[in-house]
Amino acid sequence: MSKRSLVFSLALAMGFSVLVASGSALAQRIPPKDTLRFAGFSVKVLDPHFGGGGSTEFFQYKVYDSLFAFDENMVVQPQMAEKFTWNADKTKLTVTLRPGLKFHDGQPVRAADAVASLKRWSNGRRGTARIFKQFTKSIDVVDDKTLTWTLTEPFGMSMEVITSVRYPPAIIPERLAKTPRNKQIKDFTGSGPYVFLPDEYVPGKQLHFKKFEDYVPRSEPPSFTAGGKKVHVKKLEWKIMKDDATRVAALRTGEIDLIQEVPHALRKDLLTDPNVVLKPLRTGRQGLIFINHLAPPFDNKKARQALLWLISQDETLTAITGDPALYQTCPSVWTCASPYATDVASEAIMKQDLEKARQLMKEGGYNGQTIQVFQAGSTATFSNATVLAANLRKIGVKVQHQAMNRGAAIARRKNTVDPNKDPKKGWHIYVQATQEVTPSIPALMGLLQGDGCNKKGFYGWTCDERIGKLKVAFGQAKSEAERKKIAAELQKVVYDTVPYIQTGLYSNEAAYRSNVKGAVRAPSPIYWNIRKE
Amino acid sequence: MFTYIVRRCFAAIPVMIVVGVFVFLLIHLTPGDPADILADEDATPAEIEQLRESLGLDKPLHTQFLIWSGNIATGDLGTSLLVSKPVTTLMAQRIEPTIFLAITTLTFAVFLGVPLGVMAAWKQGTWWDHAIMIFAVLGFSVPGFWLGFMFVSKFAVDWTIVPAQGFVSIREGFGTFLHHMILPTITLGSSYMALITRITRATVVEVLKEDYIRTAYAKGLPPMKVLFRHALQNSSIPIVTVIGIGFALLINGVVVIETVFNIPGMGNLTIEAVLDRDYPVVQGVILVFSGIYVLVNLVVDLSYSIFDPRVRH
Amino acid sequence: MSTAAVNEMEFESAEAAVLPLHRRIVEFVRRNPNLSLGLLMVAIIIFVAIFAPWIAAKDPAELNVVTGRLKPPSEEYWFGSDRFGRDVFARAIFGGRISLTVGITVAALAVFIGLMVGLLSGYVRQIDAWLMRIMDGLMAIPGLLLAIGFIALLPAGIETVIIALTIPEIPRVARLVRGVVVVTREITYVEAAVAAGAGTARVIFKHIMPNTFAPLIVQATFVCASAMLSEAALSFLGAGTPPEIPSWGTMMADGRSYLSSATWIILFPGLFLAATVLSVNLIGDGLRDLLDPRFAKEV
Repeated sequence: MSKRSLVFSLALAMGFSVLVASGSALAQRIPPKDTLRFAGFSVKVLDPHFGGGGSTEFFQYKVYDSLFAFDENMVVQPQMAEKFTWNADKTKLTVTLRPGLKFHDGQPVRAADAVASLKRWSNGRRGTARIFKQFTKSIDVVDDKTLTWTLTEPFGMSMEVITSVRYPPAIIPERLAKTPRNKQIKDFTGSGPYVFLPDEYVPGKQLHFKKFEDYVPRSEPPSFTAGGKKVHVKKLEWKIMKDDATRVAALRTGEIDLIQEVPHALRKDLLTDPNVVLKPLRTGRQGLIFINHLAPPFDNKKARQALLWLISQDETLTAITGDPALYQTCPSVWTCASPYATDVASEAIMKQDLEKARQLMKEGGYNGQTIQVFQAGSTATFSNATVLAANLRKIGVKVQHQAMNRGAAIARRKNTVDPNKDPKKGWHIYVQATQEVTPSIPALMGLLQGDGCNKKGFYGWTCDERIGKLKVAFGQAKSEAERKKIAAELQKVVYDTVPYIQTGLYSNEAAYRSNVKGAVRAPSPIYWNIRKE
Repeated sequence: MFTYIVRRCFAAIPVMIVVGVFVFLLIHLTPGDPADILADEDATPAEIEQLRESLGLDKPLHTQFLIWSGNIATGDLGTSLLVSKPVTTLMAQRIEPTIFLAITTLTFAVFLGVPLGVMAAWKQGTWWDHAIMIFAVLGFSVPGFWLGFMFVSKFAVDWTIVPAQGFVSIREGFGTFLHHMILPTITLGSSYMALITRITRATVVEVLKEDYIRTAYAKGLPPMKVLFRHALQNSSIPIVTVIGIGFALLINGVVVIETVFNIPGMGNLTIEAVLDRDYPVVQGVILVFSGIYVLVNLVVDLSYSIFDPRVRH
Repeated sequence: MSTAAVNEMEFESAEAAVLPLHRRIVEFVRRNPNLSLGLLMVAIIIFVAIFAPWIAAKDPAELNVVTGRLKPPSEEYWFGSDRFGRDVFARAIFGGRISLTVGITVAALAVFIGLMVGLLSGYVRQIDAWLMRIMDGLMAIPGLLLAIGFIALLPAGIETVIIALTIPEIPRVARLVRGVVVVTREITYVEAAVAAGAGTARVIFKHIMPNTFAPLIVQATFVCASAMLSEAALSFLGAGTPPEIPSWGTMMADGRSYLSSATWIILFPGLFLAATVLSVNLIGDGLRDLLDPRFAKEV
């Protein structure tokens, strides 16, 4: 056979086998009916108490359960707890576990497991965990099914803290909970509705779960993270897909059943696809602009207030989402879903006035230096920073906007160097986005710090002791009315001293194939109650 | 000859040391470290410092380097700081897609590129030649990711004849495997094929001017036989060399194409590790990539000396 | 330049001298259609890039978020507008400045540094092994990954992208040069020059370096083209030119999510980039034919 005909016949053979393969392959790549396959982001840390980005929480909601959960109205409901009682002066909580709870290894869930888990969680780096620890005197085992939490003093939001809307304290077996908190656990035995399959785990590619047959769901209907966690699929496959366009293409071809968050830019492609349903399933996010209080011009309150007048939430949110249905402007530092939302002192943030901003900037001591704006990661924060930079230029301020990856951004934001002297290391403005921290424990509790005097404390180094005092008063308030009053007071202080600026709420819808039913709205993607037809 | 080979093999050791030191310094001098990434958004600087200590990142750089290189000597590439799995395990899980993508791409590029190049050389100066060369230059001029997205939107989403993304192991069926490989292979292979076409044309054009080719024609051998038996065979050395050197191009392309088609390979692993500052993974993966490259180069170098005795000192 | 190539050019110009200018140009174009097309296109692109502020009616950084998002090409927005309501035409034209700067600077730097390293390594045997091991080490690290590493290390900016793309190219150029030198120095006339007592520097620059020019020019066009593509690839991976700088790469990276809903955002910078890389490659191919390396071999 000559080389030419060899090449030719090989090519022919390849072409033929591809054709033959196509038929069977097309059928194979669609997930079977009892398997729910979704595209998600990469997850690094699986240990629910350790730390890491938001994806750890997605993992947690599948494998682990917690004592309490929030329902749709942000009311705390028992989840693993059967009942709970407070003593008269509200310093001691007694929790009884539901009967029949089991870990994935078949062992029953005991009070000792819960106590050990709460202790490990409270040593973590989460904002709410820190508050929990601050008010905890002791956590004790009473008997196999009963535990108590003793507080140092009565604390108005104690139920919200122990429930924790973000990264709730996952209950893990006591043997694992003894792992020091700076070491990640390697055994992911939980008591949640899904069992993690470590053998099928490929970091950066996929995480697979199977239904936990021995899970005893509550009888109530699912509501947010509370209620019955009934599982209707046999297998849950979390495929990690990094590129937005790739995720959307895979959903449209049916290779996956669901995308947790549809990128705003690709929404149009899905809206016109009859096989795909778009629905908001998660709470939103909000843009945050941190300001460095150490360096001129923003060491001057007036320059910071200038930014409030400069920013238009409408404009920023349009740039991010492109659709008014996906965003909400909000005058309150408490976020607008919160019962403490108020429009006190919010004129500057709700109204754009470039002239006023220019004037305040000048009064604040701006003298022509280049303002260093930087931001990490996502398209949304980039949009936010781009609009901010353009507006700053409009009022005659020189701006250097830098987008960087998360690692570099986190390294830079802790730098207290004067950005006017060292523009490569220091910074004036850092643009970020956080989860819309839902009602009861506002973002404020973690992010709002006034203790940044002497370059200590949180990024931005806000130095205003009124903030700390009001936060304590808020936590200790005896009645809801009093708490609302303090909330409004705190907002006034925030808009006066401007530790950071919220640029409004925006959300991404989830998208799923039209045969997927029963998806539940929650702060994090959850996959109980969901089924395929 | 034997001593030359042995000498060249030993010469590969300092290269790997250079790579090791270089990569270690590069990644460790980069601002931001795994502790920053692992900690939460609202972690305080003191908490991050604590975490850094527990990861062993507070030790001086040279101590960390000694620990790392000591471990490598025993074949231990370390453990990922982020996903707490051994680097070797992570690589073992990821190497298969990359190897297969490289093989299919190589096959595609060689089986298309070489005949096209020979064709162009044979018809040098004609309309055929220009068309093939423009095609080849085009393949060289279009960004891979752009081409990939174009293919996906047409062939996968609009016409649904191929999958949009993903990798299926060859063990799960050759048909399914190949089906998933079509788009990534063509996308990645286009520039590689263009390179091979160009080089093949250039070398075959040279060879066709040689006297023995004229003699072969004069003897009345059929043109196809002259072309493939005599001309191509005598052009094979530079072509093979380029295939070896083009390996670098292939790896570059792999990083991009794996992202576009969501192929869980080594490229994907590396870029994620660089961005997350997962030191052991970055160091391990680059060391392995470089090792393969050095090996390929060694073979190319040896083939030089076999075919051109002047180079042998 | 090799003597043969010079001879040929002299021959060409001698022949051409008898023809009027326009006939000479026509003749050149007829003989080198690809090269001429490439040169013409690159000339146009460079012209447009240099005079961008006069050609583009709009400011590429001007936002119009509220009323001007994602407008299709029209009289107002020739190439449409992007998600910030910025004019794609203005950005594509200004983007050319960045992409061309990256391509040309990387090619020039890589060729210059690589030439020096290659000459030293090829001629001075004492340091050959050392230099080549370092070059091998650099070359062994996949270029794009090395570039990503450098970009993470250095402060974000276009200079960083240039450095990051240059470093992986140096060893390739150095190897090429060294290869030519190793072969050339064995050639009789170089040996004769050495025997005649010519100094090392003289031998290198006078007798050896000219032999590297033909392959280097071709290599430079290749480096330039690949640097522009790599710039785009890095931007796509989110590890290249910072997205706030309008290069063709960042524009395409930003527009890729609008591939089907607002194609113009990715289409025009993509076409500009492909056209530029294509013409640079055409120039490279044309030059290679013109400076036929066969002559260098026969010297």
